[in-house]
Amino acid sequence: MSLAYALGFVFGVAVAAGIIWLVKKFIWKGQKAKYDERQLVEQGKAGKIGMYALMIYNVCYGLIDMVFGIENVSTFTAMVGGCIFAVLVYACVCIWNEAYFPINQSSKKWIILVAGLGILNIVIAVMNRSHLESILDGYAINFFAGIMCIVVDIVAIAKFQLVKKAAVEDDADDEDEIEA
Amino acid sequence: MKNLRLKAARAAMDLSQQALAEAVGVSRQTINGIEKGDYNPSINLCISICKTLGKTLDELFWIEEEE
Repeated sequence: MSLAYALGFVFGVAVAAGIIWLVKKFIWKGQKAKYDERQLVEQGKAGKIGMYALMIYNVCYGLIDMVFGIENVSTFTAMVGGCIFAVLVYACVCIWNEAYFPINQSSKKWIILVAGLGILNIVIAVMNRSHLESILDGYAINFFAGIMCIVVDIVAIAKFQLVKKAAVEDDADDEDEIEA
Repeated sequence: MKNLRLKAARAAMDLSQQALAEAVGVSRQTINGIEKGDYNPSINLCISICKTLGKTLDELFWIEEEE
């Protein structure tokens, strides 16, 4: 990995941290995310599942590298890819158990923000593809991150639709069960 | 095990799951989980729910043997 690439990666992380800071300051206006007790429990379970996902990913990567040899992807890309995969698993499990979005903040704003980050990463990935020499590494990390954001949004939207449908059915069940 | 007594007490006060959730500071899904029996709330949350609905812990959360 070249020094320029390493600096670019650090700069990218700094930009992401800056975006998060700006979002916290201007969109959430310094409001801390609040989760209820069930959400915290579910987040703990999701964290465990995410950790297992990372372990399985690393073992699979090691085995495939040992048996077949992985030549076209640097170890750095593969490891960061594993982290992105684990975060994706964590986020999807949290969303599915309705523990990802804080109770005091708009989930729509979160979905728009994540979509924005996803598109930004994919745009950077496409730019890297045409400008950088280390095409695969630069392309792959931003591309993985972009795909992760898009998948998170898709799962969130799908879950919202299911919850809406279930809420209508619950309301109908309420009256029947209470009367019974 | 479903908590129909909680559901009935909430309905008697004409509160939706969302309204009760906001009153006790949790998400609607948490109230839904308690009513469905999918989630066991902490004692603090039980007390908050009881205070909001004007019921005692026994009335809402005590499980009789025959239940």
